[in-house]
Amino acid sequence: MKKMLAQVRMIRLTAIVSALRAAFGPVHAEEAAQAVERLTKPESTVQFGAGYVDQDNQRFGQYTGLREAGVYGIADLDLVRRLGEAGTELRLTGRNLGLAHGEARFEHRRQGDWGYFIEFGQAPDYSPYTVNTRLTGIGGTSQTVIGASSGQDVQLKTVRKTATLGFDKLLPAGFDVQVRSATRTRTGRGCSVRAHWGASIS
Amino acid sequence: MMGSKKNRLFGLLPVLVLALGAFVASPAHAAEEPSGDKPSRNTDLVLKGDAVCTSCPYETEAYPVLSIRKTRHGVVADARTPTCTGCHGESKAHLDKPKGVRVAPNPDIVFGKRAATPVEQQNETCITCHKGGKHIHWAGSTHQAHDVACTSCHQLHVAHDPVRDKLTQFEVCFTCHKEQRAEISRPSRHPVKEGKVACSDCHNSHGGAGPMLMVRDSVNETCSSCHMEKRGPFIWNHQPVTEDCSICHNPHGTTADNLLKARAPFLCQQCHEPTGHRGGIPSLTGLSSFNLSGRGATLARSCMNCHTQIHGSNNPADGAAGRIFQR
Repeated sequence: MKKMLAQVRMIRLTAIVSALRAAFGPVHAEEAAQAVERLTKPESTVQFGAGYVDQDNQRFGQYTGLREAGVYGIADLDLVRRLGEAGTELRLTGRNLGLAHGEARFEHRRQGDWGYFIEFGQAPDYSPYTVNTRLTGIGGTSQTVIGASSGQDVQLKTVRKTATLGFDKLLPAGFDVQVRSATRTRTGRGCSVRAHWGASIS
Repeated sequence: MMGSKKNRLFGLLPVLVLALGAFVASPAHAAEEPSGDKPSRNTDLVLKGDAVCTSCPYETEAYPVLSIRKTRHGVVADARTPTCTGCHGESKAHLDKPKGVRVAPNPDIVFGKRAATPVEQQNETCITCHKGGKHIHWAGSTHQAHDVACTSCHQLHVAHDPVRDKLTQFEVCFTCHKEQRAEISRPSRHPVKEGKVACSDCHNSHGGAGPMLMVRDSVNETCSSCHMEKRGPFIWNHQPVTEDCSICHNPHGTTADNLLKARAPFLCQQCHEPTGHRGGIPSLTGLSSFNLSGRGATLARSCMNCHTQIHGSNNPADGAAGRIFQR
């Protein structure tokens, strides 16, 4: 009697478990597949935000432009897409968009074969000092000293803007070609413009 | 007696059913714990031939495995992409875990800080592919000589390798380079913390022909890749500028302005002869032997108030002023 009772209960238990597996099994497999995809597929992200600086601060914003109190908008993005099975990837990244030191890059590459990118960025450099001077025409070709008893406040800063174009190609026997063309422009109180390009085979 | 046992068994039944249902329906089941079923060794998930590895779905946040697919090491269309066993070895003992043994032995080659695999053996795995080009000077380089493993800096099984991102690279380097961590917090510095300049913009941590792991063959060539207006050559050259930027500047950070190791006139007086106004005792007022038109020689930019073209002058006309970098 005891044995029969145990057998009946085991059958009921087995039936219940089987019913549960039948009901939840496919869902479980689908969720497992989703988990694998989440772990293996490159993810794109877009982030928006706003920041508030409560006081003017020369040092705090020396390289970011966040020198004055106020609200600043900021965005970051990292968009990536792999195309098919050929290993071709498109990537668009942007950092600190909306701020003075923002940068962006677009890249298209077939890994193991070729790739190219274009990149823009800017970097301000604010002098932490406020200069009081009777000199006028700063940054130009003609300066004069005014005869006033006191000078005027001048904010010195430079902004460096960079644009880079690059191309890579993998050659047989482990060699590769990398071509880079970069233009760097530095403007400000006393401006200079420079451009340089370079190519290398390695 | 019989009745109480019956009640106890019936009481346990709903608990058992609920426990079994939760186990079967749990969404995290496949990702976090080894399956109780016999593993399938036929389907590659990420890399070629990885079925034998990924059939045992053991993935944790501390030891990510599958996310290598998100990285360049996971692009199977590239014929150079390695396999699991290509880096970690055949690992027979790890794969054929005997029954009754709860924890499988480690793979043949394990990477990381506490790995039993010797650093040299770990690095050999990477050097199999990553040799030549930017890595051509690895052998005998400073990091190699100090037994730094590739995985001391690089993370492979994650989508974002911090050392390959300008914004987070310096945190990796400063794990060891504490002095430079302090220096980039000084008032005059490169915008490293803002992500505009990275350690790898100046240094090639994999080795280089130049001093101090410079990316180029000399300090000056490295600096002038961004500060090209200082490169020269000029009609009138300032010898320490031509020789080495780091004679006057500390590129990691200084308390003096413009990344100078010391402010003028003290910096200049380290070299310049004590004749004329050069050797005088500088002061903030005009009441000393070193004053310029009655003004103290330490005011504002000190020597550079007059000697503005301190990196060199191209003045073709006024030789007297050009030679002393006044215009």
